[in-house]
Amino acid sequence: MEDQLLCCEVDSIRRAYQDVNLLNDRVLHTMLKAEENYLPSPNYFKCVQREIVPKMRKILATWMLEVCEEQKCEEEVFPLAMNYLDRFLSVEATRKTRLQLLGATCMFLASKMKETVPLTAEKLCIYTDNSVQPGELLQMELLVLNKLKWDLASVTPHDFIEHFLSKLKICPSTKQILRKHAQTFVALCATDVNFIASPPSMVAAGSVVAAVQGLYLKSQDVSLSSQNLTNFLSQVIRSDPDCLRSCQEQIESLLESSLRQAQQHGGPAESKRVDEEVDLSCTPTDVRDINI
Amino acid sequence: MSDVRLSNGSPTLERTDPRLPEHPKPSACKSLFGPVDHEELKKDFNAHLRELEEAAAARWDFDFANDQPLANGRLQWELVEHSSVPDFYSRPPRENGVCSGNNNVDHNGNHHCDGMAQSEETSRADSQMECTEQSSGPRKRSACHDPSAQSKRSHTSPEEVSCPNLSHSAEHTPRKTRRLSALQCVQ
Repeated sequence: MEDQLLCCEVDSIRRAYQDVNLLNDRVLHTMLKAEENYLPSPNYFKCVQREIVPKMRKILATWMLEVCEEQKCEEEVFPLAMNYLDRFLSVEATRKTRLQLLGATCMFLASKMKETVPLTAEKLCIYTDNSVQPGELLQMELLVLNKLKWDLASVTPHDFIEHFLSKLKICPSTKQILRKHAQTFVALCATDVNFIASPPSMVAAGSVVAAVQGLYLKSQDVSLSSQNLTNFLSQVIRSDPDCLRSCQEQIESLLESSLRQAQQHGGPAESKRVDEEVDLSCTPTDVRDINI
Repeated sequence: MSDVRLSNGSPTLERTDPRLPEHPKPSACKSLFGPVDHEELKKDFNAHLRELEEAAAARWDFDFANDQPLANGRLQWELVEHSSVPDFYSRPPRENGVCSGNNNVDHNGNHHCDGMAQSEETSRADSQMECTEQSSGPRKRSACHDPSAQSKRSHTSPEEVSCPNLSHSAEHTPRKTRRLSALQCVQ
């Protein structure tokens, strides 16, 4: 009996079933209130940083996503790490040469928060091409923790997606695809500076609407039409439908530009750099094919 | 209970295969923004650590570097027997935790070469503590000394010093609480 159990644990990640008791409006409202506390400052590039510019964040985010993908991290790890990164950069002027150390540290922390087998300091250092050492990463960890006031329980868009999906009348298999797409959009948003100050609930709602659009689910059910869904979800997150619509459009245009970029850099020499963007961008197309 | 995955809120992701044991692919290993000045980084970290230690010392009236209470503090620290505290304060840390083998910085940023050195330090502190022991009032554990501990204490209150949830601290910062195993803070 025990042997069997051990074997199972080795073979795959064990997960608890979703606790439906946590998918109620009380929890949702608490999260909507809590998310405000974890928003980075929207203009830290201007107000706090001297060396760091938006383009560097993009480069760093692309690398972090690549590492998370390759290490098969839980989907939440990357957006959570980006939240830590933005919150840190909102309060602490940072050298350009230490930005990657910071990014690695944020992944280290996010992985510890969300995974049963977290990323190790050594592995993350290898990913920096050994430009930083494990000891430095651990000291950076302490610094980040202090600057974040040890509050790592950030609300992320992932926390909201499940709530939104539970409110939609769709079959489980569609839900699964929708979830996957919405999560992909969330990751995409986390790489983009324009979403730094967007509340996670807004990013999540915009991602769900964009995913429904992308999958042509609207033709199946009138409640999933763009307008109905936008109106419904904007009520859920207590926001304005126009805000949500503009967020959704922003996500769609971000997807488009990522796709374009991926095609332009399609050459073998450049393919590494845009690998994950190709992944991100291609998913909706693939699934659309399946649906048709 | 082995089925429980506490940390994950989205259980139906496709990723169910375990993390690969292999090393990172070379393609993803890159230095993004040029070489790091390790010496300068070390200097800056040390400055930060000093700041943190000073803040912690002021908050807890305790010299964490030398493991002894500050002389004229508002808090009084007293020595207690190992046997009178739960064993998680005194048992050794897990060997080779997931987050790395060769670091010498614990959760507080304090430097320790290894477990042996740490326990020596603790026992040294214990013997020092016996000299400075001041006993008065009811005993209360001090579970936590980082500057951002969740509960604010009222240092001026004549009552017991309130402490953060014991099991909570123990779970999250086992090393920290272990180091203070022999000391209790009394008002």
